[in-house]
Amino acid sequence: MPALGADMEAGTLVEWLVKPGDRVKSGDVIVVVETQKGAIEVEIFQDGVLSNILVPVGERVPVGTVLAQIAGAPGAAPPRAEAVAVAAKPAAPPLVEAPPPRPAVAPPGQRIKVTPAARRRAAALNLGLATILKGTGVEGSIRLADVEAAASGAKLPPPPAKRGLDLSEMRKAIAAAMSRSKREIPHYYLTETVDLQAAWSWIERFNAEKPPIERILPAVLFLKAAALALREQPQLNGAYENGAFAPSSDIHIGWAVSLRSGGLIAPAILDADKNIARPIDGGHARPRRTRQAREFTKLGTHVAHDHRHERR
Amino acid sequence: MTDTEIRALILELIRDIAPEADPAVARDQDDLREVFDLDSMDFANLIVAIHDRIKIAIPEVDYNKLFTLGGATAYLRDALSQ
Amino acid sequence: MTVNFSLLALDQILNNAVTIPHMSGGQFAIPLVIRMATGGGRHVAAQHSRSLEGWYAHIPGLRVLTPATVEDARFMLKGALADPNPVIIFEHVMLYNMEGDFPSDMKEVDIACAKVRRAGRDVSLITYGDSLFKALQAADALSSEGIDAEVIDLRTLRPLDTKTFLESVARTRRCVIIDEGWRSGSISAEIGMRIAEEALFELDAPLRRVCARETPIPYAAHLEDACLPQTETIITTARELVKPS
Repeated sequence: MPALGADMEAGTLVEWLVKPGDRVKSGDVIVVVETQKGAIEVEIFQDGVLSNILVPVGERVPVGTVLAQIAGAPGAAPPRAEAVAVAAKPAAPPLVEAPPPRPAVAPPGQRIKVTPAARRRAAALNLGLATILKGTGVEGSIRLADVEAAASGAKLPPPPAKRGLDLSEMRKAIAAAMSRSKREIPHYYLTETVDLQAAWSWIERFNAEKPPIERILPAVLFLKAAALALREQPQLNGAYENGAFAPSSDIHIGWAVSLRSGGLIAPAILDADKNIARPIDGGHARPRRTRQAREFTKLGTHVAHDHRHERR
Repeated sequence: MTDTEIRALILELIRDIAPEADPAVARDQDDLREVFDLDSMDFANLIVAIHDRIKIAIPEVDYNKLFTLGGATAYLRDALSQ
Repeated sequence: MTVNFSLLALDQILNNAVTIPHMSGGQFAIPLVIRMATGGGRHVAAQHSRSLEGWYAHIPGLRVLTPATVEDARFMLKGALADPNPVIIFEHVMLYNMEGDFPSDMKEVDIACAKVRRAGRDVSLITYGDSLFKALQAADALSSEGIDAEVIDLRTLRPLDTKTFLESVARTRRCVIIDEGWRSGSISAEIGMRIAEEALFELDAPLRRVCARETPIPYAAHLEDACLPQTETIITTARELVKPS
């Protein structure tokens, strides 16, 4: 690439007027180069046969770059290949960036784009950015909403070994999950009035003969009823994942339990359709305290909550 | 057991269920469920704990007599004396 | 007088008025107020359509005011006259015919603070002068798409009320700066840089600007329109930040 002006630092190949194998002689115009001053024809100053083109059309290269090689010049021409461009290289290295070696450079866009706010939120939630597959922000960047969505999809963060569950983190995760749920899932509300007198009487009779440990709470009937209903209506038992409904073969009812020190968990009552008395057994005292909550974090296939009917 | 001992026992059992509870705040006329934020499960566990500790199986129909600290103390005193 | 005529007086403004209070160690105050018409939109060609307020805002020692509303046009002059130092008031040519009422008991406005002209949660539109009304229009249009834009009227370009727009961006996490000046070296560049310096970690999207095209403002109406920031451009730019296509 010759310097076609004192201030020229680089030029862009516009057109090759010869092709490899062509015989060229001094004074021939062989290539057109685009500079800041316009397109300029470049002459060759030697005779010979063009053996090899090194810079393709469209590429911008610094002054001094070898554009092509000629070989087999008759007579005086040296046998080795020689640069076409004879302009002296500039004394100082060119200021333009060197042309990138094409194969070696990673294609742009490999780096995950994350907005600063999203990065900070992810750090606060202890959420790995690699878990977020797709950003919805500008240029596909991961933004706050993506982090919150990922946080709500993720299980509760494992508690630090010493302190039990980190409730503030749990609060954040719950807030993110609930906000997303309210925002993204169409809601509908059904109200039904049911006469519970028969159920009530049944419970009273059942409990009257039992020691306290074996008595059941009215809530159990709701859970059981929900479980049996799910057996009849399996399309309500499972989850939408990746755009499709994934039904569950088992009926595990997640029972929302508020922790005394704040926060909420939904321990699953496994096989609730077959297992009626489970909620009253001794173990159930535990979820309301935080420290042992981890063992209850298996995911339910259906969640019921707020069976509040005591203090009547 | 004296009333004071019964009262202390009830508060101790509640502490097992609600570790953050401050027994000092409870007065005899207060509803335990309100003061200590006991839900139906917690209350059932209290009944179970009483049964374990002093072998009194309180029938469900009597639960409402134990909703206040004073009521619970009186109920257990009577039950123990029988 | 449009701003281009002030270029003939640059020596008096920059070398004299601005520096004398400084170089005299405060012995001389220069209580000078200059009102200038600024901006394009009247089809009066390049020389009379300039927006050089960002240029003047580069100079320490000047106070640069850009009233947009009727009450600011009325009362900023009073504040400027009370200032012992040189003040330049840039009045956008397209706002001269605007009519409006202000409270009869209104006696003055502050000349130091930006104002939130419309509160919103999703994106901050930061602007001044005539572009304020384009931004407000854009915000109305965006609200029908469920995008809640906040509009900040800078009011004064020097000293710049950084706090107001930083707080706004910290709330909305996105911003579009609308500036009728040319993009390069503009007041919008300064605002964007301050956000980058002081509120980077609040951002949930890249900073964006809507500025005049980098050309002398054309005479022909359709070309002039194409050069100046327009409501539609503000809408598209903001929408792309909040709901990327």
